[in-house]
Amino acid sequence: MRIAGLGVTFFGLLALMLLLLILPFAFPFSTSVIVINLLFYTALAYSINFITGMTGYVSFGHVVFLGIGAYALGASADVYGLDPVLGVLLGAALGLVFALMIGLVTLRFRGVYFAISTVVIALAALNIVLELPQLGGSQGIILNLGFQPYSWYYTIWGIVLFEMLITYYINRGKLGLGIRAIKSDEDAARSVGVNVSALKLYLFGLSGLFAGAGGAVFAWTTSGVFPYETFSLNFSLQMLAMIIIGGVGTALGPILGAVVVYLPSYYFLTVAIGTQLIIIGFAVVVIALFIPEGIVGTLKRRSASLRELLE
Amino acid sequence: MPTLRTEAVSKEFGGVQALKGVTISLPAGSTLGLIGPNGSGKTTLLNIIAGLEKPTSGAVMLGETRIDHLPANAIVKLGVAKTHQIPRPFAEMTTRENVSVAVMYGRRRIKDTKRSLNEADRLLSLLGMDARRDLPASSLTVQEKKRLELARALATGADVILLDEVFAGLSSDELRDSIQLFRKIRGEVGFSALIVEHVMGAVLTLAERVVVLEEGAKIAEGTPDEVVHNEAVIRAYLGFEENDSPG
Repeated sequence: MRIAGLGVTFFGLLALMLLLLILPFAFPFSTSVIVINLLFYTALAYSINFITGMTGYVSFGHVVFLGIGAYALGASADVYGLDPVLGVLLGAALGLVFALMIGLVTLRFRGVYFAISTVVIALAALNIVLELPQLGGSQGIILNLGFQPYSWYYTIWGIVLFEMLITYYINRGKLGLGIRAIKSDEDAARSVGVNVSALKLYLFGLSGLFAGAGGAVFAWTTSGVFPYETFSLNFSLQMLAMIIIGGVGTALGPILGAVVVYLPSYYFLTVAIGTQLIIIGFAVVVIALFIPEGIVGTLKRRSASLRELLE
Repeated sequence: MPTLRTEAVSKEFGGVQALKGVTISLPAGSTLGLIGPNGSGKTTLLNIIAGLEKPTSGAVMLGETRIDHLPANAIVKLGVAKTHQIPRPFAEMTTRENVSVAVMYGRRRIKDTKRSLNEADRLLSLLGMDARRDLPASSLTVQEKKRLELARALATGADVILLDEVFAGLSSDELRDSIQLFRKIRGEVGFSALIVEHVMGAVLTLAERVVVLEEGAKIAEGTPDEVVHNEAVIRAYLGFEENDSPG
Protein backbone atom coordinates (compact mmCIF):
# COMPACT_ATOMS: atom_id res chain seq x y z
CA MET A 1 0.00 0.00 0.00
CA ARG A 2 2.53 2.58 -1.03
CA ILE A 3 1.80 5.52 -3.25
CA ALA A 4 4.90 7.07 -4.79
CA GLY A 5 6.96 5.78 -1.90
CA LEU A 6 4.71 7.32 0.75
CA GLY A 7 2.76 5.05 3.05
CA VAL A 8 -0.75 4.97 4.48
CA THR A 9 0.45 6.60 7.69
CA PHE A 10 1.53 9.67 5.78
CA PHE A 11 -1.81 10.13 4.04
CA GLY A 12 -3.65 9.28 7.25
CA LEU A 13 -1.83 12.02 9.13
CA LEU A 14 -2.30 14.42 6.24
CA ALA A 15 -6.04 13.72 6.18
CA LEU A 16 -6.23 14.24 9.93
CA MET A 17 -4.44 17.57 9.65
CA LEU A 18 -6.80 18.68 6.87
CA LEU A 19 -9.77 17.77 9.04
CA LEU A 20 -8.29 19.77 11.87
CA LEU A 21 -7.82 22.67 9.47
CA ILE A 22 -11.57 23.07 9.02
CA LEU A 23 -12.55 21.96 12.51
CA PRO A 24 -12.89 25.45 14.04
CA PHE A 25 -15.60 26.25 11.47
CA ALA A 26 -17.48 23.02 11.88
CA PHE A 27 -17.67 22.71 15.63
CA PRO A 28 -18.51 24.93 18.59
CA PHE A 29 -15.73 26.83 20.20
CA SER A 30 -15.34 24.68 23.27
CA THR A 31 -14.24 21.77 21.08
CA SER A 32 -11.59 23.89 19.40
CA VAL A 33 -10.17 24.91 22.75
CA ILE A 34 -9.70 21.27 23.71
CA VAL A 35 -8.06 20.67 20.34
CA ILE A 36 -5.73 23.65 20.87
CA ASN A 37 -4.49 22.02 24.06
CA LEU A 38 -4.26 18.66 22.38
CA LEU A 39 -2.23 20.15 19.52
CA PHE A 40 -0.03 21.94 22.03
CA TYR A 41 0.85 18.65 23.70
CA THR A 42 1.23 17.00 20.31
CA ALA A 43 3.73 19.70 19.33
CA LEU A 44 5.70 19.04 22.53
CA ALA A 45 5.64 15.29 21.93
CA TYR A 46 6.96 15.67 18.38
CA SER A 47 9.63 18.05 19.58
CA ILE A 48 11.09 15.66 22.17
CA ASN A 49 10.67 12.82 19.68
CA PHE A 50 13.39 14.35 17.51
CA ILE A 51 16.05 13.82 20.14
CA THR A 52 14.79 11.26 22.65
CA GLY A 53 12.60 9.25 20.30
CA MET A 54 15.05 9.10 17.45
CA THR A 55 18.43 8.81 19.19
CA GLY A 56 17.51 7.42 22.62
CA TYR A 57 19.09 10.43 24.39
CA VAL A 58 16.57 11.06 27.16
CA SER A 59 16.05 14.80 27.52
CA PHE A 60 14.54 14.96 31.00
CA GLY A 61 14.86 18.71 31.17
CA HIS A 62 13.28 19.41 27.81
CA VAL A 63 10.95 21.92 29.45
CA VAL A 64 13.88 24.37 29.38
CA PHE A 65 13.19 25.05 25.69
CA LEU A 66 9.50 25.46 26.34
CA GLY A 67 10.45 28.01 29.00
CA ILE A 68 12.81 29.85 26.67
CA GLY A 69 10.08 30.08 24.02
CA ALA A 70 7.52 31.24 26.54
CA TYR A 71 9.77 33.99 27.87
CA ALA A 72 10.76 35.00 24.33
CA LEU A 73 7.13 35.70 23.48
CA GLY A 74 6.37 37.11 26.92
CA ALA A 75 9.23 39.57 27.01
CA SER A 76 8.97 40.63 23.37
CA ALA A 77 5.21 41.23 23.63
CA ASP A 78 5.48 42.90 27.02
CA VAL A 79 8.42 45.21 26.39
CA TYR A 80 8.36 45.80 22.64
CA GLY A 81 4.71 45.06 21.91
CA LEU A 82 5.76 42.52 19.33
CA ASP A 83 3.02 40.65 17.49
CA PRO A 84 2.53 37.23 19.15
CA VAL A 85 3.02 35.37 15.85
CA LEU A 86 6.44 37.00 15.58
CA GLY A 87 6.92 36.11 19.24
CA VAL A 88 6.38 32.46 18.33
CA LEU A 89 9.01 32.74 15.60
CA LEU A 90 11.35 34.39 18.09
CA GLY A 91 10.66 31.59 20.58
CA ALA A 92 11.50 29.03 17.91
CA ALA A 93 14.72 30.84 16.98
CA LEU A 94 15.85 31.14 20.61
CA GLY A 95 14.89 27.51 21.26
CA LEU A 96 17.12 26.54 18.34
CA VAL A 97 20.05 28.75 19.41
CA PHE A 98 19.95 27.59 23.03
CA ALA A 99 19.58 23.93 22.00
CA LEU A 100 22.65 24.22 19.79
CA MET A 101 24.67 25.84 22.57
CA ILE A 102 23.51 23.42 25.26
CA GLY A 103 23.76 20.40 22.95
CA LEU A 104 27.32 21.23 21.96
CA VAL A 105 28.27 20.53 25.56
CA THR A 106 25.75 18.01 26.88
CA LEU A 107 25.51 15.71 23.84
CA ARG A 108 29.04 14.53 24.65
CA PHE A 109 27.55 12.74 27.66
CA ARG A 110 25.86 9.44 27.15
CA GLY A 111 22.97 7.61 28.77
CA VAL A 112 21.98 8.67 32.22
CA TYR A 113 24.68 11.39 32.36
CA PHE A 114 23.01 13.20 29.48
CA ALA A 115 19.61 12.87 31.16
CA ILE A 116 20.99 14.31 34.41
CA SER A 117 22.69 17.19 32.60
CA THR A 118 19.39 18.21 31.01
CA VAL A 119 17.61 18.24 34.38
CA VAL A 120 20.39 20.36 35.87
CA ILE A 121 20.06 22.86 33.03
CA ALA A 122 16.29 23.06 33.44
CA LEU A 123 16.65 23.73 37.18
CA ALA A 124 19.39 26.27 36.56
CA ALA A 125 17.24 28.04 33.95
CA LEU A 126 14.39 28.40 36.44
CA ASN A 127 16.73 29.89 39.05
CA ILE A 128 18.30 32.26 36.55
CA VAL A 129 14.87 33.52 35.47
CA LEU A 130 13.84 34.02 39.12
CA GLU A 131 16.83 36.33 39.55
CA LEU A 132 16.15 38.45 36.46
CA PRO A 133 13.90 41.45 37.18
CA GLN A 134 13.69 42.13 33.42
CA LEU A 135 11.75 38.85 33.13
CA GLY A 136 9.58 39.62 36.13
CA GLY A 137 11.49 37.47 38.62
CA SER A 138 9.22 35.18 40.58
CA GLN A 139 6.18 37.23 39.55
CA GLY A 140 6.61 36.39 35.89
CA ILE A 141 5.14 38.46 33.09
CA ILE A 142 1.45 39.17 32.75
CA LEU A 143 0.40 39.78 29.17
CA ASN A 144 -2.67 41.42 27.81
CA LEU A 145 -2.98 39.72 24.47
CA GLY A 146 -6.64 38.93 24.70
CA PHE A 147 -8.66 35.94 23.56
CA GLN A 148 -7.42 35.00 20.07
CA PRO A 149 -8.50 31.40 19.62
CA TYR A 150 -8.26 31.33 15.81
CA SER A 151 -4.71 32.66 15.84
CA TRP A 152 -3.75 30.23 18.61
CA TYR A 153 -5.35 27.37 16.80
CA TYR A 154 -3.74 27.92 13.41
CA THR A 155 -0.34 28.72 14.85
CA ILE A 156 -0.14 25.50 16.83
CA TRP A 157 -1.67 23.61 13.92
CA GLY A 158 1.09 24.91 11.67
CA ILE A 159 3.77 23.93 14.19
CA VAL A 160 2.45 20.37 14.39
CA LEU A 161 2.20 20.10 10.61
CA PHE A 162 5.84 21.18 10.22
CA GLU A 163 6.94 18.70 12.85
CA MET A 164 5.10 15.85 11.18
CA LEU A 165 6.55 16.64 7.77
CA ILE A 166 10.08 16.96 9.12
CA THR A 167 9.75 13.74 11.12
CA TYR A 168 8.58 12.06 7.95
CA TYR A 169 11.35 13.53 5.86
CA ILE A 170 13.98 12.38 8.36
CA ASN A 171 12.61 8.89 8.90
CA ARG A 172 12.28 7.99 5.26
CA GLY A 173 15.71 8.89 3.95
CA LYS A 174 19.42 8.83 4.49
CA LEU A 175 19.17 10.87 7.70
CA GLY A 176 16.82 8.36 9.30
CA LEU A 177 19.06 5.44 8.49
CA GLY A 178 22.10 7.18 10.00
CA ILE A 179 20.08 8.18 13.07
CA ARG A 180 18.87 4.61 13.61
CA ALA A 181 22.51 3.51 13.40
CA ILE A 182 23.43 6.08 16.06
CA LYS A 183 20.63 4.87 18.32
CA SER A 184 21.84 1.31 17.89
CA ASP A 185 25.60 1.81 18.33
CA GLU A 186 27.14 5.25 18.21
CA ASP A 187 30.75 4.10 17.78
CA ALA A 188 29.92 1.60 15.06
CA ALA A 189 27.95 4.34 13.28
CA ARG A 190 31.02 6.56 13.35
CA SER A 191 33.14 3.74 11.95
CA VAL A 192 31.02 3.55 8.80
CA GLY A 193 31.25 7.30 8.27
CA VAL A 194 28.20 8.67 10.06
CA ASN A 195 28.95 12.13 11.45
CA VAL A 196 27.46 11.28 14.82
CA SER A 197 28.10 14.57 16.63
CA ALA A 198 26.64 16.70 13.84
CA LEU A 199 23.52 14.54 13.46
CA LYS A 200 22.81 14.56 17.19
CA LEU A 201 23.25 18.31 17.33
CA TYR A 202 20.95 18.74 14.31
CA LEU A 203 18.21 16.74 16.02
CA PHE A 204 18.68 18.49 19.36
CA GLY A 205 18.47 21.82 17.54
CA LEU A 206 15.23 20.80 15.84
CA SER A 207 13.75 19.62 19.11
CA GLY A 208 14.73 22.88 20.82
CA LEU A 209 13.26 24.91 17.97
CA PHE A 210 9.85 23.25 18.15
CA ALA A 211 9.73 23.13 21.96
CA GLY A 212 10.52 26.86 21.87
CA ALA A 213 7.71 27.50 19.41
CA GLY A 214 5.35 25.42 21.55
CA GLY A 215 6.39 27.30 24.67
CA ALA A 216 5.69 30.63 22.99
CA VAL A 217 2.18 29.45 22.13
CA PHE A 218 1.77 28.36 25.74
CA ALA A 219 2.62 31.89 26.94
CA TRP A 220 0.28 33.36 24.33
CA THR A 221 -2.71 31.18 25.25
CA THR A 222 -2.26 31.63 29.00
CA SER A 223 -1.59 35.35 28.43
CA GLY A 224 1.33 35.30 30.77
CA VAL A 225 4.57 33.61 31.74
CA PHE A 226 4.98 32.32 35.26
CA PRO A 227 8.34 30.79 36.12
CA TYR A 228 7.25 27.84 38.25
CA GLU A 229 4.48 26.79 35.86
CA THR A 230 6.59 27.36 32.75
CA PHE A 231 9.68 25.48 33.92
CA SER A 232 7.66 22.74 35.62
CA LEU A 233 9.33 19.35 35.21
CA ASN A 234 5.81 17.97 34.75
CA PHE A 235 6.01 19.16 31.15
CA SER A 236 9.19 17.17 30.61
CA LEU A 237 7.60 14.09 32.11
CA GLN A 238 4.42 14.46 30.07
CA MET A 239 6.38 14.85 26.83
CA LEU A 240 8.37 11.74 27.63
CA ALA A 241 5.27 9.82 28.65
CA MET A 242 3.58 10.69 25.36
CA ILE A 243 6.34 9.39 23.13
CA ILE A 244 6.95 6.33 25.29
CA ILE A 245 3.27 5.45 25.20
CA GLY A 246 2.81 6.32 21.54
CA GLY A 247 5.99 4.77 20.22
CA VAL A 248 9.42 6.40 20.18
CA GLY A 249 11.00 7.68 17.01
CA THR A 250 7.95 7.09 14.82
CA ALA A 251 5.89 9.61 12.85
CA LEU A 252 2.59 8.38 14.26
CA GLY A 253 3.66 7.78 17.88
CA PRO A 254 3.77 11.35 19.23
CA ILE A 255 0.25 12.33 18.18
CA LEU A 256 -1.12 9.00 19.33
CA GLY A 257 0.66 9.40 22.66
CA ALA A 258 -0.58 12.97 23.03
CA VAL A 259 -4.18 11.88 22.49
CA VAL A 260 -3.88 8.94 24.87
CA VAL A 261 -2.22 11.02 27.60
CA TYR A 262 -3.98 14.35 27.15
CA LEU A 263 -7.63 13.40 26.71
CA PRO A 264 -7.89 11.30 29.89
CA SER A 265 -5.84 13.82 31.84
CA TYR A 266 -8.11 16.60 30.59
CA TYR A 267 -11.04 14.63 31.90
CA PHE A 268 -9.37 14.00 35.23
CA LEU A 269 -8.22 17.59 35.41
CA THR A 270 -11.77 18.83 35.24
CA VAL A 271 -13.58 16.00 36.99
CA ALA A 272 -11.17 14.48 39.47
CA ILE A 273 -8.80 17.37 40.08
CA GLY A 274 -5.25 16.51 41.06
CA THR A 275 -5.22 12.94 39.85
CA GLN A 276 -3.80 13.45 36.37
CA LEU A 277 -0.14 12.90 37.23
CA ILE A 278 -1.02 9.77 39.14
CA ILE A 279 -2.89 8.48 36.10
CA ILE A 280 -0.04 9.35 33.71
CA GLY A 281 2.51 7.77 36.02
CA PHE A 282 0.41 4.65 36.27
CA ALA A 283 0.00 4.50 32.49
CA VAL A 284 3.76 4.83 31.90
CA VAL A 285 4.48 2.01 34.36
CA VAL A 286 1.91 -0.24 32.71
CA ILE A 287 3.28 0.58 29.24
CA ALA A 288 6.88 0.05 30.31
CA LEU A 289 5.97 -3.32 31.81
CA PHE A 290 3.69 -4.70 29.14
CA ILE A 291 4.32 -2.89 25.86
CA PRO A 292 7.80 -1.37 26.15
CA GLU A 293 7.88 -0.42 22.48
CA GLY A 294 4.80 1.77 22.84
CA ILE A 295 1.59 1.51 20.84
CA VAL A 296 3.11 1.87 17.37
CA GLY A 297 6.16 -0.30 18.08
CA THR A 298 4.06 -3.08 19.55
CA LEU A 299 1.49 -3.10 16.77
CA LYS A 300 4.30 -3.28 14.23
CA ARG A 301 5.92 -6.19 15.98
CA ARG A 302 2.70 -8.12 16.51
CA SER A 303 1.32 -7.87 13.02
CA ALA A 304 3.18 -8.28 9.76
CA SER A 305 0.48 -6.45 7.83
CA LEU A 306 0.63 -3.44 10.14
CA ARG A 307 4.43 -3.33 9.92
CA GLU A 308 4.24 -1.88 6.43
CA LEU A 309 1.39 0.48 7.22
CA LEU A 310 2.53 2.14 10.44
CA GLU A 311 5.49 4.46 10.50
CA MET B 1 44.48 4.37 -4.54
CA PRO B 2 47.01 5.93 -2.12
CA THR B 3 49.62 4.29 0.09
CA LEU B 4 48.89 4.20 3.80
CA ARG B 5 51.85 4.82 6.08
CA THR B 6 52.46 5.26 9.77
CA GLU B 7 55.57 7.25 10.58
CA ALA B 8 57.18 6.60 13.95
CA VAL B 9 53.83 6.34 15.69
CA SER B 10 54.02 6.25 19.48
CA LYS B 11 51.20 6.01 21.97
CA GLU B 12 51.34 6.39 25.69
CA PHE B 13 48.52 5.44 28.04
CA GLY B 14 49.23 7.02 31.43
CA GLY B 15 52.92 6.10 31.54
CA VAL B 16 52.61 2.86 29.60
CA GLN B 17 54.24 2.90 26.15
CA ALA B 18 51.69 1.00 24.07
CA LEU B 19 53.49 1.85 20.81
CA LYS B 20 57.12 2.84 20.39
CA GLY B 21 57.79 4.58 17.10
CA VAL B 22 56.11 2.10 14.76
CA THR B 23 56.55 2.70 11.03
CA ILE B 24 54.65 0.57 8.57
CA SER B 25 53.72 1.02 4.94
CA LEU B 26 50.79 -0.42 3.04
CA PRO B 27 51.25 0.19 -0.70
CA ALA B 28 48.15 0.40 -2.89
CA GLY B 29 46.55 -2.98 -3.51
CA SER B 30 48.83 -4.90 -1.18
CA THR B 31 48.12 -7.07 1.84
CA LEU B 32 50.09 -6.52 5.01
CA GLY B 33 49.82 -8.79 8.02
CA LEU B 34 50.29 -7.39 11.52
CA ILE B 35 50.97 -9.98 14.18
CA GLY B 36 52.25 -10.08 17.71
CA PRO B 37 51.41 -11.49 21.11
CA ASN B 38 48.56 -10.14 23.25
CA GLY B 39 49.19 -6.59 24.36
CA SER B 40 51.82 -5.94 21.70
CA GLY B 41 49.93 -2.89 20.40
CA LYS B 42 48.30 -4.28 17.24
CA THR B 43 44.80 -3.05 18.00
CA THR B 44 46.12 0.29 19.27
CA LEU B 45 47.90 0.85 15.97
CA LEU B 46 44.75 -0.05 14.05
CA ASN B 47 42.66 2.29 16.20
CA ILE B 48 45.11 5.12 15.59
CA ILE B 49 44.97 4.59 11.83
CA ALA B 50 41.16 4.51 11.95
CA GLY B 51 41.04 7.72 13.98
CA LEU B 52 39.57 6.13 17.10
CA GLU B 53 42.65 7.21 19.07
CA LYS B 54 45.22 9.94 18.59
CA PRO B 55 48.94 9.10 18.55
CA THR B 56 51.14 10.70 21.24
CA SER B 57 53.73 11.38 18.53
CA GLY B 58 54.31 10.40 14.93
CA ALA B 59 51.99 10.66 11.96
CA VAL B 60 49.59 8.63 9.86
CA MET B 61 49.70 9.48 6.16
CA LEU B 62 47.28 8.50 3.43
CA GLY B 63 49.19 9.35 0.28
CA GLU B 64 50.21 12.97 0.86
CA THR B 65 47.44 13.66 3.38
CA ARG B 66 48.05 13.55 7.09
CA ILE B 67 45.04 11.88 8.71
CA ASP B 68 45.95 11.28 12.37
CA HIS B 69 44.20 14.42 13.61
CA LEU B 70 40.91 13.64 11.83
CA PRO B 71 37.82 12.14 13.49
CA ALA B 72 36.96 8.53 12.62
CA ASN B 73 34.01 9.41 10.39
CA ALA B 74 36.16 11.77 8.33
CA ILE B 75 38.81 9.08 7.83
CA VAL B 76 36.12 6.73 6.52
CA LYS B 77 35.19 9.37 3.97
CA LEU B 78 38.82 9.42 2.79
CA GLY B 79 38.61 5.70 2.06
CA VAL B 80 39.95 3.93 5.15
CA ALA B 81 37.54 1.55 6.90
CA LYS B 82 37.99 -0.78 9.86
CA THR B 83 36.12 -3.87 10.97
CA HIS B 84 35.53 -4.46 14.65
CA GLN B 85 37.24 -7.28 16.45
CA ILE B 86 34.02 -8.07 18.26
CA PRO B 87 31.29 -7.51 15.64
CA ARG B 88 29.13 -4.49 16.32
CA PRO B 89 26.14 -4.75 14.01
CA PHE B 90 23.25 -2.31 14.28
CA ALA B 91 21.22 -5.01 15.99
CA GLU B 92 17.68 -3.72 15.37
CA MET B 93 18.29 -3.05 11.70
CA THR B 94 18.15 -5.64 8.95
CA THR B 95 21.35 -6.90 7.41
CA ARG B 96 20.85 -4.92 4.21
CA GLU B 97 20.04 -1.77 6.17
CA ASN B 98 23.28 -2.26 8.10
CA VAL B 99 25.24 -2.34 4.87
CA SER B 100 23.16 0.43 3.40
CA VAL B 101 24.20 2.85 6.18
CA ALA B 102 27.81 2.34 5.14
CA VAL B 103 26.94 2.84 1.45
CA MET B 104 25.23 6.15 2.20
CA TYR B 105 27.60 7.58 4.78
CA GLY B 106 30.87 6.16 3.48
CA ARG B 107 33.09 7.59 0.86
CA ARG B 108 30.60 7.33 -1.97
CA ARG B 109 27.93 9.39 -0.18
CA ILE B 110 25.07 7.85 -2.13
CA LYS B 111 21.94 9.77 -1.15
CA ASP B 112 19.23 7.68 -2.80
CA THR B 113 17.81 4.98 -0.51
CA LYS B 114 16.88 2.59 -3.29
CA ARG B 115 20.29 2.78 -4.95
CA SER B 116 22.05 2.23 -1.64
CA LEU B 117 19.89 -0.81 -0.85
CA ASN B 118 20.69 -2.26 -4.28
CA GLU B 119 24.38 -1.74 -3.66
CA ALA B 120 24.01 -3.37 -0.23
CA ASP B 121 22.31 -6.37 -1.85
CA ARG B 122 25.12 -6.67 -4.39
CA LEU B 123 27.76 -6.77 -1.64
CA LEU B 124 25.76 -9.20 0.47
CA SER B 125 25.44 -11.59 -2.45
CA LEU B 126 29.20 -11.28 -3.09
CA LEU B 127 29.65 -12.40 0.52
CA GLY B 128 27.13 -15.20 0.15
CA MET B 129 24.61 -13.63 2.51
CA ASP B 130 21.61 -13.12 0.20
CA ALA B 131 19.39 -15.26 2.37
CA ARG B 132 20.08 -13.10 5.42
CA ARG B 133 19.46 -9.68 4.01
CA ASP B 134 16.01 -9.05 5.46
CA LEU B 135 16.76 -10.55 8.86
CA PRO B 136 17.61 -8.34 11.82
CA ALA B 137 21.38 -8.29 12.26
CA SER B 138 20.95 -9.50 15.83
CA SER B 139 19.81 -12.89 14.51
CA LEU B 140 23.04 -13.60 12.59
CA THR B 141 25.63 -16.14 13.72
CA VAL B 142 29.08 -14.95 14.84
CA GLN B 143 30.60 -15.85 11.48
CA GLU B 144 27.82 -13.99 9.64
CA LYS B 145 28.29 -10.99 11.88
CA LYS B 146 31.97 -10.97 10.98
CA ARG B 147 31.04 -11.07 7.32
CA LEU B 148 28.65 -8.22 7.92
CA GLU B 149 31.56 -6.23 9.37
CA LEU B 150 33.47 -6.87 6.16
CA ALA B 151 30.42 -6.03 4.03
CA ARG B 152 30.03 -2.70 5.83
CA ALA B 153 33.71 -1.88 5.41
CA LEU B 154 33.52 -2.66 1.69
CA ALA B 155 30.26 -0.72 1.42
CA THR B 156 31.93 2.48 2.55
CA GLY B 157 33.84 2.36 -0.74
CA ALA B 158 37.14 2.17 1.13
CA ASP B 159 40.32 1.34 -0.72
CA VAL B 160 42.18 0.63 2.51
CA ILE B 161 40.52 -1.92 4.78
CA LEU B 162 41.74 -2.64 8.30
CA LEU B 163 40.72 -6.13 9.37
CA ASP B 164 40.83 -6.64 13.13
CA GLU B 165 40.86 -10.38 13.81
CA VAL B 166 38.17 -11.27 11.28
CA PHE B 167 39.53 -14.78 11.07
CA ALA B 168 39.70 -15.40 14.82
CA GLY B 169 37.32 -17.73 16.58
CA LEU B 170 36.31 -19.65 13.48
CA SER B 171 36.34 -23.42 13.09
CA SER B 172 38.90 -24.77 10.63
CA ASP B 173 36.19 -25.27 7.98
CA GLU B 174 34.90 -21.75 8.50
CA LEU B 175 38.45 -20.45 8.35
CA ARG B 176 39.06 -22.15 5.01
CA ASP B 177 35.80 -20.79 3.62
CA SER B 178 36.60 -17.31 4.88
CA ILE B 179 40.06 -17.31 3.31
CA GLN B 180 38.60 -18.44 -0.02
CA LEU B 181 35.90 -15.83 0.23
CA PHE B 182 38.44 -13.13 1.02
CA ARG B 183 40.44 -14.06 -2.09
CA LYS B 184 37.30 -14.01 -4.23
CA ILE B 185 36.35 -10.55 -2.97
CA ARG B 186 39.86 -9.29 -3.56
CA GLY B 187 39.49 -10.49 -7.13
CA GLU B 188 36.33 -8.40 -7.64
CA VAL B 189 36.91 -5.35 -5.47
CA GLY B 190 40.37 -3.81 -5.37
CA PHE B 191 41.59 -2.63 -1.98
CA SER B 192 44.67 -2.75 0.23
CA ALA B 193 44.28 -4.77 3.40
CA LEU B 194 45.95 -4.55 6.77
CA ILE B 195 45.22 -7.80 8.53
CA VAL B 196 45.67 -7.94 12.28
CA GLU B 197 45.60 -11.45 13.61
CA HIS B 198 46.38 -13.26 16.77
CA VAL B 199 46.30 -16.57 14.94
CA MET B 200 49.10 -16.76 12.38
CA GLY B 201 47.52 -19.16 9.89
CA ALA B 202 45.32 -16.77 7.95
CA VAL B 203 47.92 -14.00 7.89
CA LEU B 204 50.68 -16.21 6.58
CA THR B 205 48.36 -17.49 3.84
CA LEU B 206 47.03 -14.10 2.71
CA ALA B 207 49.66 -11.47 3.41
CA GLU B 208 52.48 -10.56 1.05
CA ARG B 209 54.43 -8.97 3.87
CA VAL B 210 54.18 -9.30 7.64
CA VAL B 211 55.09 -6.90 10.44
CA VAL B 212 55.68 -8.29 13.90
CA LEU B 213 55.09 -6.19 17.02
CA GLU B 214 56.29 -6.95 20.50
CA GLU B 215 55.62 -4.70 23.49
CA GLY B 216 54.79 -1.82 21.18
CA ALA B 217 57.89 -2.03 19.00
CA LYS B 218 58.38 -3.45 15.54
CA ILE B 219 60.76 -6.39 15.88
CA ALA B 220 60.61 -7.84 12.38
CA GLU B 221 59.24 -7.26 8.91
CA GLY B 222 59.40 -9.40 5.80
CA THR B 223 57.64 -12.02 3.75
CA PRO B 224 55.67 -14.59 5.76
CA ASP B 225 58.42 -17.08 5.15
CA GLU B 226 61.17 -14.75 6.38
CA VAL B 227 59.17 -13.81 9.44
CA VAL B 228 58.42 -17.33 10.66
CA HIS B 229 62.11 -18.17 10.44
CA ASN B 230 63.26 -15.01 12.18
CA GLU B 231 64.98 -15.81 15.50
CA ALA B 232 63.62 -12.75 17.32
CA VAL B 233 60.07 -13.54 16.21
CA ILE B 234 60.29 -17.13 17.28
CA ARG B 235 61.59 -16.09 20.68
CA ALA B 236 59.24 -13.24 21.29
CA TYR B 237 56.06 -14.22 19.58
CA LEU B 238 56.00 -17.96 19.93
CA GLY B 239 57.76 -17.98 23.26
CA PHE B 240 59.95 -21.02 22.61
CA GLU B 241 63.13 -21.90 20.66
CA GLU B 242 62.79 -23.26 17.15
CA ASN B 243 63.94 -26.73 18.12
CA ASP B 244 61.65 -26.94 21.17
CA SER B 245 58.41 -28.78 20.77
CA PRO B 246 55.42 -26.35 20.81
CA GLY B 247 53.62 -28.27 23.57
